[in-house]
Amino acid sequence: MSTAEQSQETHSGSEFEREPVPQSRLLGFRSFVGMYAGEHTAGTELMIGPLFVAAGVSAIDLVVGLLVGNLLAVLSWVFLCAPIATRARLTLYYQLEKICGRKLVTLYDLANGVMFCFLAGAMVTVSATALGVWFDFDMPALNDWLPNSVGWVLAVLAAGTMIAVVAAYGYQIVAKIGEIAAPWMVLVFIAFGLVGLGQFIDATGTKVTSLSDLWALANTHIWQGRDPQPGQVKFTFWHVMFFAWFCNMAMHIGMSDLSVLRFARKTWYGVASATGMFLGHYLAWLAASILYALQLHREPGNTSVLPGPLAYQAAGLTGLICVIIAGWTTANPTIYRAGLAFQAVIPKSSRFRVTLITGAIATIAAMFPALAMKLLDFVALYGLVLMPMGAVVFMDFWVIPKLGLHRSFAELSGRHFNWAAGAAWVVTLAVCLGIVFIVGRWTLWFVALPGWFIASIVYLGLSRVYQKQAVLSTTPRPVQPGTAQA
Amino acid sequence: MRNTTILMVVSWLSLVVLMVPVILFLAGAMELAAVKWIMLAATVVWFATATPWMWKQTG
Repeated sequence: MSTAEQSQETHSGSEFEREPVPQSRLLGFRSFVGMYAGEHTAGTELMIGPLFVAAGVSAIDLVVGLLVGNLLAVLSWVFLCAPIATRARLTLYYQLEKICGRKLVTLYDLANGVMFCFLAGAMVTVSATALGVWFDFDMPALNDWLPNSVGWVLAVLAAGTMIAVVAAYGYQIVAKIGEIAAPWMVLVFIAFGLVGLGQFIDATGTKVTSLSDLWALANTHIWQGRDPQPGQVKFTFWHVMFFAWFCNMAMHIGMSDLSVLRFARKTWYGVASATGMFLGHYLAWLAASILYALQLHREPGNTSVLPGPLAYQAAGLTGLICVIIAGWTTANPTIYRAGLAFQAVIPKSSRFRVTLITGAIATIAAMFPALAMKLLDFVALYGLVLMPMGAVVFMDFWVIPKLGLHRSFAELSGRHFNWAAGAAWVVTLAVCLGIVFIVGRWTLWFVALPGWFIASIVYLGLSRVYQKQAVLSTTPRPVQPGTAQA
Repeated sequence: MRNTTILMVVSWLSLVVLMVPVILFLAGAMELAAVKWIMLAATVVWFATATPWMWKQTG
């Protein structure tokens, strides 16, 4: 069984949901290498790469920005998430419940479910663009917010329904297909880039005999660093770097991957995330951006970001199959996870029904192309919303005991809502979103960094006041043995 | 066991076949139409041969 499956089982309540993972069930490094490579080579990579080009990024800013940003992401997994995961060996949800209390975790689950729902919607959108190649209906343009043809609505409906129904019956079969497809999919993504590069060489008549020739082609034709397309924010090195670092913020700094890395034998297994970052978020983004730049080179007026047609022109049917599988295999567990998050909010509801309803919401969201066309914005927002709780977990684990305060205070005091953690979450989001609205949209990709410090300071400061005022229950329940190791 | 080994070898070879024409296209030694057909054939072989042994491996 893969790590991802174990994580899912755990979340759904099968095993180790409320206890540390035992030594006998720990996994080796290879499990994590495969899991991260597969999970981060998704259909949405084919949207993100082109959107960098639409944002007018230059070659040096993209190549170096992605390098540094992805490296920072890997370091965040290694130094922030993995050390807690391998010491506590608990799911994020249980860890949060111990710190924040049941009611606050329910709110977190709701936010998590909504975010997963929209993310799955973007993946359904990607799959639907592949259907557009076969059925030749009008597909959305870069700045479209609303569905623009009956064909588009029907394609999204077909793709979304199929994904939702399969997810409702249990996503394990699709997860297996995803694991089988992963090595092939990574190579097809690389093939997109190499074919696009070859087509660029043909289209521009450039002779490439050295790396400096290749770099000149990249600068003058592929990533020209021009003005962004209308409606897009201009991306510089800093935007690219912070985007690459924070696009999975919910998982590393936000600690969502505690649920995955708790199975790791060693803390350093966090470096396995490098496979996902440098295959999916480096090579795949570069490859997809080359295909879009080629489209702009051939038809400057065609600014639509449509993974289906882009993949088809580069690799034919193989490209379309790749788009469908990449969208499907990643949308499926995402809808499943969203369903589980909602089920945690309404525990008596049937998982089948909740997953179907979640899939329906994701499908309706996918009909609105704004979700996918503004994916750079949405991904930044997704990380920002879930990040403060990661800061709370980090501070609670490492700093709170050093201040003479109690770790896992909700569990210790029997409270259902830790106001210090709740306030840290709300205040951080209010400040960060306030900055975005007042200063400008461009800050969306940066505010999470000061936001992490705000969440940490607010949580520590309020915990000091809150814990002193609170009356501890007379018979405090013991902290789980695994959490007391650090 | 022997069959599994053969399937594994064929499946990994299909991935090599998937990429070779792409590199030849980049070098200007193959037409894109031919590349696409070979990629499709390699894809079919990959899923046909990798599924049996990877399905078992993933439990």
